Amino acid sequence: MIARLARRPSAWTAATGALAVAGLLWIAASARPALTGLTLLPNPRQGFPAPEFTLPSREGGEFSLADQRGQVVIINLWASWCRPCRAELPALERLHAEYTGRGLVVVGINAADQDDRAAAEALLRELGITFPIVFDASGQASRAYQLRSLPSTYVVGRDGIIRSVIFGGPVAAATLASLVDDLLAEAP
Amino acid sequence: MLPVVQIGRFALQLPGLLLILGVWLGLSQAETAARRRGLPVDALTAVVGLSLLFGLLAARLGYVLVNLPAYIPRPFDAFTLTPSALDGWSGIVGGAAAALILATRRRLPLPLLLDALAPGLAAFSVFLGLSHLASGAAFGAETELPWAIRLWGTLRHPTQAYEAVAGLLAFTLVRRRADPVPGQTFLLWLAAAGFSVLVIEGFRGDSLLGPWGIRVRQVPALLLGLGPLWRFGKLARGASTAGASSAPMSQEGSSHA
Repeated sequence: MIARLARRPSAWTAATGALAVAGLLWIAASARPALTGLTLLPNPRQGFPAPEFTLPSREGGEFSLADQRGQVVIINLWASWCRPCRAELPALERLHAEYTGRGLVVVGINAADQDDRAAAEALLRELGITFPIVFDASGQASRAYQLRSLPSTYVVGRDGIIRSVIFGGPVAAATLASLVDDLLAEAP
Repeated sequence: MLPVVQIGRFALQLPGLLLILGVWLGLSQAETAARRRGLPVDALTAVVGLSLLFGLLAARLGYVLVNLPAYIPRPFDAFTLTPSALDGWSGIVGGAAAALILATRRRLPLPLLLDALAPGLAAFSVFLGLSHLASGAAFGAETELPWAIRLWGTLRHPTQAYEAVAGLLAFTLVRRRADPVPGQTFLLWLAAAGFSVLVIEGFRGDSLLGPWGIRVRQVPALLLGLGPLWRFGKLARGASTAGASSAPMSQEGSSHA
């Protein structure tokens, strides 16, 4: 049918023209006012506000994501028994050391509801990890971030919107740095 | 949405698996189409396989070049297997350039090769939609229609399913075509793909918006739909005129069409 129609110049021109007009009308009809991410519900998804969490930190006291607004945040969910997690913790530490004072916060959320606290502490000591670590014993963050695989890494912009999500690992420091550099250049 | 399937200690990324399945089935469809067109199947398989490989390498190289300051202090990080460190456009350009060079070197006629690839690309786009459905990517705008799916906290258009259905329709359209002029089948698939994006983008919830709230991807999609369609018509009329002027010969060779 298409080939038959195409052989008739006037019919084909009319059909193509009608499609062009319909396409333009559809573009106009489906235009919509810009939605900012902050009008969306928090979700562990690129373009959505990062789900909030407040958890006990390794250093004592509590760490709250809400307190980090205005900073770029790398959230890394990990467990001591997870090999890729172990492999990428040093990369996160290097990034933390390099970007200290430049507006980047690296936080590791230990999936403590499925990990052994002593083993986690031993690993952190062995690797010389100094960036903030929180322990998710209640599974609050795992649920909020719909944790399905370890490690999972979220890069959150200064506006609290998730800009990148990386499932699995180990993620290279350069990859994380490439994601973070542009975000740090944005106005606070 | 099911981004990860946990089997024992192994976390399988379902979106990635669906993409691999799409490549495999797409390639087998392209091979079938190549056989029907009298193209050497081995050569087509080699061109596609090597183009994918070069496309991946170009995607990584493009990503590294775009983010050079991040890689200069850590050059070995360019060789890690992180799938997120890929630049899509570099991959497409690199893969297409590799395909062009390889096809020329193996003396494969490009229009016929593209025609053979059309059903494969359509089959792949079905799995691309399913992959998006598994990962929750390319999600739809909020709606209360009966077929809405709950995703990212609200009911949304299942745009990923629309993608898969559009891919299936395009596949049905080009699968068994035997157009008289080489290149026509591919043009038809290109037009179908363009119009699919144009329509589905209107239901997306994550569109990049331009001036007046226009969804940016719809503009090239409309051009991608119309351009190949216009060219398809021109080729069809050319074939028709040539056929009319050499009627006795075309009757003799009518089994081709």
